Parts: sequence; C-alpha cells; structure tokens
Amino acid sequence: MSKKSSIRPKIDFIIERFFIIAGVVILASSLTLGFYFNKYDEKEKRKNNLQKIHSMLSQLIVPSLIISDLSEVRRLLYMASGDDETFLVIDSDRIVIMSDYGKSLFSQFISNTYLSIDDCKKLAITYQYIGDKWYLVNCSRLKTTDVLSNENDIGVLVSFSTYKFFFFSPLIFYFIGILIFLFLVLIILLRRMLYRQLLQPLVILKDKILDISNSVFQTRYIHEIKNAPRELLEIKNAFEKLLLSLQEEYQRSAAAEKMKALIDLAAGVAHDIRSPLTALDVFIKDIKNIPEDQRVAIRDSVNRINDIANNLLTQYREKKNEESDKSINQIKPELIADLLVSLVSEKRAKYKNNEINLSTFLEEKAYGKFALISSSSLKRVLSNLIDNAIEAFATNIQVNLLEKANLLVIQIQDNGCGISEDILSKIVSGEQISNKLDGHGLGLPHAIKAIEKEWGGKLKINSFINKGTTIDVYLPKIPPPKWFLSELIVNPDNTIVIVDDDESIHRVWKERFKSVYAIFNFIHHYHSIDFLNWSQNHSLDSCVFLIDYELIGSHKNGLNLIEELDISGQSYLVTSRHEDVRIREYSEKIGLKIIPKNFAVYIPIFLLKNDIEKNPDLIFIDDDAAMRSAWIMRGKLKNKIIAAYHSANAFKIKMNQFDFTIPIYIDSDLNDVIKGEEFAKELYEIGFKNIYLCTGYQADHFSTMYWVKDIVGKEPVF
Amino acid sequence: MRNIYLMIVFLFFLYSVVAKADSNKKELRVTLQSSEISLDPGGIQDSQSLFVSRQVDCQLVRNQGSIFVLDAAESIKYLTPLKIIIKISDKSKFHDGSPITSEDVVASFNYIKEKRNIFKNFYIWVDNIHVKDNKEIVIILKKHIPQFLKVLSATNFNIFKKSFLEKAKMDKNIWKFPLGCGGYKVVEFNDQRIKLEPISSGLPIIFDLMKKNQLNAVEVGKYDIITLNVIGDSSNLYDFDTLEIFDPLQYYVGLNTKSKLWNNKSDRCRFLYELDVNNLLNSYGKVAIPANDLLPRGTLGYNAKSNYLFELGKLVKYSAYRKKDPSLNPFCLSYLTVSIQDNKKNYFLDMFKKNYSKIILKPINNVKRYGKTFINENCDALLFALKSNYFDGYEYLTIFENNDANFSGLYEEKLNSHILRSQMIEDSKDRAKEYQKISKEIRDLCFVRPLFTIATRRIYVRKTLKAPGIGLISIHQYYLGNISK
Repeated sequence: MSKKSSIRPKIDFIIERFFIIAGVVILASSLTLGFYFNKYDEKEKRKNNLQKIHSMLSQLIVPSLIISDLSEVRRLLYMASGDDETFLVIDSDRIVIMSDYGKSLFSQFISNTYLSIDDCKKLAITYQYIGDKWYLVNCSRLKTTDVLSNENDIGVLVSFSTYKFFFFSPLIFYFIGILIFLFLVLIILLRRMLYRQLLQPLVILKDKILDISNSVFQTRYIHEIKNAPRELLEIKNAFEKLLLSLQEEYQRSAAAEKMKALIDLAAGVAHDIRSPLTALDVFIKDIKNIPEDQRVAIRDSVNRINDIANNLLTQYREKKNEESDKSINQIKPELIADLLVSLVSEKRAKYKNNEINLSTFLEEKAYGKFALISSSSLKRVLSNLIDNAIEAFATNIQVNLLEKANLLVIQIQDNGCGISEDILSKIVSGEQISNKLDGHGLGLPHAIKAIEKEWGGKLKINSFINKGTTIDVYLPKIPPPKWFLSELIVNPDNTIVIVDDDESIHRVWKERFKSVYAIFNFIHHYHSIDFLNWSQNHSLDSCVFLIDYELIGSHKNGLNLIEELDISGQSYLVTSRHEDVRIREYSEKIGLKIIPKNFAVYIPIFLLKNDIEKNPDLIFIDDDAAMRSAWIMRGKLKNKIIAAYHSANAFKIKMNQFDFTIPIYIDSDLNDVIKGEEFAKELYEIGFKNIYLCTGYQADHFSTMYWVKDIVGKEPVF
Repeated sequence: MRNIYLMIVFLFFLYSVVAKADSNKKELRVTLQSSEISLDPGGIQDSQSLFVSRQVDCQLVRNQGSIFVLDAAESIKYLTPLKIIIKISDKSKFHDGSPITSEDVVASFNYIKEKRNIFKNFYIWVDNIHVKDNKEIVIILKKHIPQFLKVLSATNFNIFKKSFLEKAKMDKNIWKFPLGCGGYKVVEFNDQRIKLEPISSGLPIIFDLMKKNQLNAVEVGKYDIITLNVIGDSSNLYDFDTLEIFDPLQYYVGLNTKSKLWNNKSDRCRFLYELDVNNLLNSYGKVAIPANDLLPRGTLGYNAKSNYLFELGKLVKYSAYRKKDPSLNPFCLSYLTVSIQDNKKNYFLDMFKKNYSKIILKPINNVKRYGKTFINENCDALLFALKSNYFDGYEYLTIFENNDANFSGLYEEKLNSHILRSQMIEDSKDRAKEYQKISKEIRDLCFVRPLFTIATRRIYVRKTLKAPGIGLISIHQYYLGNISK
C-alpha cells in the first residue's frame, strides 16, 4: 500500500486532492445552506400538511363519530397513523379513541393535558416532550355540520408527529444523491482526463528523457506522445529541439575535444621540437667545416621542420583565441618577428610544391621589437602581399624584418614581373584593379588602409617591370611590454642557473653566454626538485636564473619555483608559452620578465665589465631588470657608468668598494624584505650621503626623510 | 491453563443448557375474571371465554382492530355483492394435524346456527352456505351487507372439526378440550386455571381464574398480563405497562317482567328511575361514566344526546306506583359473577336496599343461558354488564330478542322483528338511527336501565414482554401467541 502511494504521481495527487477538498467544501457548504433553508421550509410545509390532514381526517371522522361508529373512526385513525405519526380522537366524554392503544404514552399525555375543548387551542401546533422524545402536536376540533345541533363540538382530533431536528424533503436526498453522484463522476472523469491528457504524457516524457539520458542521444523524437494538450506538445517539441541542439553541441564538443587533444598534442610536439631547433639554429651558424651546399640543405631542412612546428603552433594559437573568445582582430602590442616567422612558415607550407624560395631575414636588433597592430590583419595583409608576389610569377621571395630609427620595416622582395607605374598609382589611389574572383590580389588598397589608418604606419612600393617588386611596410615601434625581456645584462661573476627539462636549451644558453664571456659559471637543473634542493644549500644572490615554465616530470612550473624562492628580480622565464595571457599577467604582477624560447638564439646579451663596479658614476638599485637595463643603456648613450643591483643584499655585498660620496638611486618598491626608503636610511647611517629615492609616486606621498637627498622618478636622471 | 479453559467452556455450555431449560419453562400467566369458562360457541360466551377461545380456535377471518386479517382462509372473494367464495388455506390445520376442509367450516357454521340463539343477524343475511370443493365454500347473501365481513371476523365464528362437533353434541364435556385450529390447545382445564400449550410457536399460557374478579397488588408479580382491577399499593405495578384500551363495558340492571313485583310497567319504570347509582359510581371513580343511553359510548347507535333516565322519568310521571311490602317479599337479586367484582358487590346491593331491606343474592356463573336461568329462578332483578366485539349496537340489542340471554321474560314480536330488520339496513347511519329507535322502544318497556359505562379497559402488561399489536384490539381478541419474553 505504501509502495503504491509512494509511486503515485504527485501532480495527480495534488490535483485530485485539490478537487476533492474543493468539492467537499462546496458540497458541504451547499448542503448546509440547503439544510438550513430546507429546515424552515419543510417545517412550514409539515405544519401546513398536518393541518390539511387534520382538516381532511376531521371531515371523515365526524360523521362516524356522530353515530358512534367507533370501528370506522378507529379504521380512519389507523389509516392516518404511521410509524412517525399517531392520530387519536378525544370525544366529548374525554374518552380517548385511537387505533393502537399500545401507544399509551400519547393516551396518558392527552389524559393529563386535555381537560376541556379549550385546551385544544393550547396544543395546536406545539412541540411537546413526551416520553423521551419531542413531538409536533396538533389539535383540531371535531365539529358537526348539523346546523340544528346546539352542540357543534363532538371531540377533538389530536396528532403526534415525531419531531426531527432536520426536516428533509425527499427531494433534498435526491438532490444530495445526484450531487454526490455528479461529483464522483466528475472526479473520476477529471482523474482519467488528467491521467490521459497530462500525467501519462508527462510520465512518458520523463521516462523518455531518462532513456535518452542513459542512451546518450540515440534518438531525439518522442513518438509516444500524440494526444496531449497544446502546451505539453510545445514542451515536447521544445525538448526535442533542445535535444537536437544538445546532440549537435555534443557532437561538436566531441569533435572539438578530439581536435583540441590533437592540437594540444601537436602544440606539445611543436614546442618540444622548437627547443632542439633553436639549438640547431645556433649550431648551424657555427658550422664551418661543412660544404656550403650541404650547409644550405641542413638549413632548409631545419627551416622545413621549423615551418611544421610554426604551423602547428599557429593553428594552436588560433584555436586558443577562438576558445578564449578574444578577437584576433584586436589591436595590441605584437612581437613582429614572431608573426613573420609564423607567416612565412604557413606560406612555405602552402606553396611547398611550387618551387618558390620563400626566405626570411630578421635583423638582430629588430628581433625583439613590438608594434601596435592587429596580428590577424597584418598577417592577412602580408599574406596577400606574398600571394601577389607569387601570382606575379616570383620564384624568390625574401621577407625581411629591419629596424630603422623608431620604425620597424617589413620588407617583401620578389623577383616577379613587377607592377607598371600606372597600375601602381591606381593601387595607391585605391582603385579596383584585379579581375580575380577569388579575392586574392585585392590586398594592396586594403593593406594601405589598414597600415596607414589603423596602425599609423606606411606602405612603400618599389617595382620594376620584369625585375621585381619591393614592398616596405613601416610600423611604428613601441616599447616592449613589461613582461618581455629585450636584452639580457649579466655580470661576469654571475652564476648562470639554467632550469629546463630540455638539454638542448641548456646547450643554447651555454653557447650564447660563452660567446659573450667564456668563463661563466653554469649550473644546470632539469627537474624542479633538484633545483629546489640545490637552492637550499647555495647562496642565490649572485645568480641569474633562466627558468623554463614547463618542466616535464615536475609538479611545479617555473613560475611556482620563482615565486617560492622569491627570485623574480634575478630570474627570467624562458618559455614558448609567452602568448599565454595568464602567464604574461602573472609575470607582470611579480615583476618577472619572459624570454620567448625561440628568442633565446637572438636575445642580445650584454656583459657588465668588472671595472664598472670599481668606478661607477652612480649606483642604481631596482628589482626590475628592465629598469636596470634601461638605466645601463641610457648610461651607455650618455657615457655614464651605471652599477645596477637587483636587491639591497646584492648591493650590500659590494658596497665596501664604493666611496660614500657616490650617488645611489634606490627604487622605493624593491619587492624585498626591506623597503627602498628604509634601506636608504640604513645606507645613510653607514655613511652614504648622496642617496636618492626613485619612485612613481609624488614626493608628498612620503614623510620627510632627512637621509634622502631627493625623491626622483624612475626614468634615468641623466 | 488448558484445564481452566476447558472448565470455562464447560461452565458456559452448562449455563446455556440451564438457561435454555429455564426459558422452556417460561410461561405466560394471564388473569381471568371469575367465570364459568365455556369454549362452546353454541351458547353465550363472556369475554373471558372468548379470550381463551381466541387462543384455541381459528376463524376464517379476524378483525385486528381496524383491518381484516385472513386466518384460516387463504382468500375471500366477492364474486358479486351477494356471492362470496372463501378458499381455505392448505396450511390451516386442526390440532390433530388434519387439514381444515370445507365440510368442517360449513359444519361449524351450522352448529353455531343451531345452538346459538343470539347474534342471529349473520344467519338472516345468509341465504345459503355450501361446499364448493374440499377447500372452498360459497356464501350466498340475501342482500348486500357491508358489515358482513365485520361480523364474520368477530370472535363468534370459530371453526371446529366436523367429527368433533358431532361428538360434542353427544358429550358436552369435550368442549373443555376442543379440537380447534388455533395456535394453542388446552392441556389443563379446571376451576382455578386453564393451561394452553402452543401448537408450533409461542409461550405456554396459563389463565388463572380469579374468584374475586380483582387482584391484590402484592400478587401482581406472578402474572404477565393482568386484566383485572388491582387493589392495593400501585407501586407494585412498576414493572408493568398500563394500557387503557377502549373497550366499553356498560352495566345494566334488568327486571324480570314475570316477577310479581314488576308485572306492572309503571312499577318497573318508577323502580328503575329511582335507583340511586351515585354511591356506586363514586366507588368506581372517574373510570365510570353515568350511562345516558341503552347503548354504551363508542357503539354504533349510541346517542350522545340521549338522556335515558330523564326519559324514563317521563314514564314515571304518568304511572301509578304500587309499592310492595318489602318485608313480606324478599327481593331476589341475580348478578353475573363475571360482571361484578367482589369489592363492588355491596355498592350494587345498596342501590336496592333503600327499597328492599331483604335481598336474596343469586349469582350466575354460567352466562351461556343467563337470561333463561334468571327467569327460571324467578328472581326480580339482574345485574349484568355487556361489552361489544365490533362496536355495533346489535350486540347489545340481540339480548332482547327471543333467546337464552333475554332476561326480561317479555317477548315482544314487534321488538324482535324490529331488531332483526335493523340488520338488513346497509347504511350505518340509517342503522344507527334504527338502533336508537329500538333503544327507545326498549326504554319505554321499562325493564332495563343502563347504570354506567366503563369506557376503557385497563390492562397491565409486563414490561419485559414483547406484545406487538396488543393495543390494536380488545384484549379478549388478542392472540397471545404473538408475545415473546
């Protein structure tokens, strides 16, 4: 029973309960009101009926009573009486005549109550308590119709009717019966209707949803629901539509997941390939004893592998951009060298069967330069320009990246058929010159518009018929973003700590640093645990850390290690994931610079001479390596020797060799255990008197500091 | 534990058996007034005899108060207003188990016709009664008589086995144990009591005959139904329901016109007129109403406006009264023992003692021929009371026909034929008028005076009894087989 009730549809129960309660309330109210009014109505009716019966019975009884035909009188009384009603006659001698003297209660009552004919009036239509019940008593006088008779009254007719609290007419019972019957029929019909029209479809819908949930979208149509209310059919249709969307989304998602997995795998491969490729790049440059043609073949092979890796990474980035829902058309600082390498790789892949020699040259100083552009738009522009060159039957296309003053120049040289002057002028003026239908070749006017109007650059075309065309795209150079390290400055006594799971990167850095200063001390770590263990037993102050972000086989990445050891001021994150916005933002937050891994080959490395510290013009202490580089570089330009230190402790080690009069510029926010102003006070107390506080804040931000000579900005003061 | 259970079961079984045995012993004890009970329908039967006969005998049809109920008959059909076919029920049987036949019914009617010289109306209506077959009889009426069934249903036409009737003609004593067809049969019949045993269902009945026509209150506990006046502490009747059934009983004083005292009408008129009944009435209390008409209240023909005594007085006015010397002629007073209670006897005597100091009492126990007995004993006056079976004036007037009930010694052919003629009147209103005329004739003959009427009969029924319909009819018409305890 309980099981049955527990599986009973809840909505059915609620609706049924509502109707039953409502029905019962309405029924009860109607009946109560009906009874209330019926009671009075029936009482009056009953009294009237009783009086009519009295009148009729009197007319029948009187003739028999006159002749003392008691048999007839009793017969009439017997006929008039019933279970609930008793009639009796009291004659003029007060003799009680009734059909059944067994009802002695009434004869005794009347013997005690009725004394004279006048008492009849008192008894007429009254309620009397006789025995243990209430009775409606009526009394009427029996009169002769004999006009000659002196005495008209020959007795009285008395009736006793059982008193009922409720007087019901039979109609009310029929009414109640019909009402209850209708009510029950309605409930049953309603229940059936609800079940068929609403609950059954709902249950089918529920079961179907459960089935579909379990069977992973085998079907999306619910054929079982045919006859249902419109709203329910709409829900069914909506559900089927939702199911269709879900199925499509599921399939898309599954495909995307597969694709993502593939791309991730490919990206991983590309990343992994790029490190040894970078090393190869470095080593090829130094290969001297291999014949030229073989060296070219090796370089082409390396380029080919590079292209494959770049294309994979390009696809990965595009996918990432799609996923992050960030518009690739957004104008932002972009590393142009990176973009060109990627584009050329794409083009080489596209035209690999066309015997076209597509090569790049990246000027060393232009390699780490940024411009404010939309990477996708620039790629499209450059792609169109390369396509135009190929369509112009060029077999040799050279893409160069050069730096001229504060401009970056992307130069595309081809040996194609060239462009006549009149066409060139039309192109420059923006007229439509191409007859091609597929859209290629439409790039020049559009490129000019984008370069000049959107990015503030310029496009210059030099073309000679049958000799070739050179297109220079000038883009304003912008300072690198905070996260990017443009050049690497090291002291000769610095220990170079390289943390990377890829052995080839270790070799690259070793080659690069050796090329600058042959006797650098190198520490190599391939795993985070090894590195952490080592860091606990060694002083880290004179170390420069080159740490990979992704350390295969380690629980911690490069950022975790840098943060944990608090070495962001003397560390550089070397990673191919420099496009990852989260890594960039986090690095900026902790004052860390990133070296794109493929940039390791190109990044300029500067060595501070030992005598710099012996006789510098000023000392600059800042945890920000970029800022330190900026000060050193400005010093070079102005013939000033700058001794830069990344922390208070680093300076303390060397401070004994400096004169107390030397100007010391200290960054306020050293990102160290000690604030710049506090370290300044400490130095002042030691004896240094020319101390300046470098800060981005206004001077009134600080309280008076007698140990500080002045508060200056962070820009080099010379 | 098991033994205890067995003991309980055994005790329960024992109690059931004892209780059943006790219930078997249960009887219905009913009082009867002092009377010489006769179960012979051929003579005059008092109400006590009729009460016993009702239990022992069956009739074709009975009057149950206001409706007719078939008894031995299965159907009664009026083929025409004058031809009635009565079919006897197959279920109706005599006490010996033999079925009632048409021959038995016709023999019973014939026996009553031969033996009974009152209630002649039935036979003057009937032209012929004959057997149609074993179970059907045909009654041919002389004219349409609306009250025919009412009379037939009155307790006067009992059915007996033909062979029994033939035997009864030879031996009157067998009437004590009649072979009837009622629910009971007589198993004991003596001066103290009559015991009846049920044929199939009902409680055994013991009728106790009370010599004094009254019962002392201390004795009420013995009885289940008491039909007598109870004297003494009424609180003893706490266990009884009191029923006041309309069953008018009118007391009369009748004179023997053949007596030397009353051979003069004027003397009779004066004597009757001057009888003082006040003390007697007072002794009865409120239940007794002075009689104003020859017929009692509630009887067809009763005239509420009649003043019998006043009219009698008018007769006295014109008659010369010759008072006899009471010392020389002792006054002979007869009375029906069934009518006069012991405790009222002196009040009755006192009425006569004013005029006659020497009174000889001659009680009449057997009502069968009470009129003839009274005349034959040459008594002067007779005290008697009459009651009705179907509330018709004829039941009172029939005693003034030439029959064994006629106590007057006066046979008036004119009156006799007038009474018989009245029975041929169809309309009850006309018949009532005729009864009034006859009453006037009788009154003018000055040989009877109605004294008073006791309109209702008080009976006490034990509360534990279930007696359905006991109030519908007079108690002597009630079938006690309906009662259960």
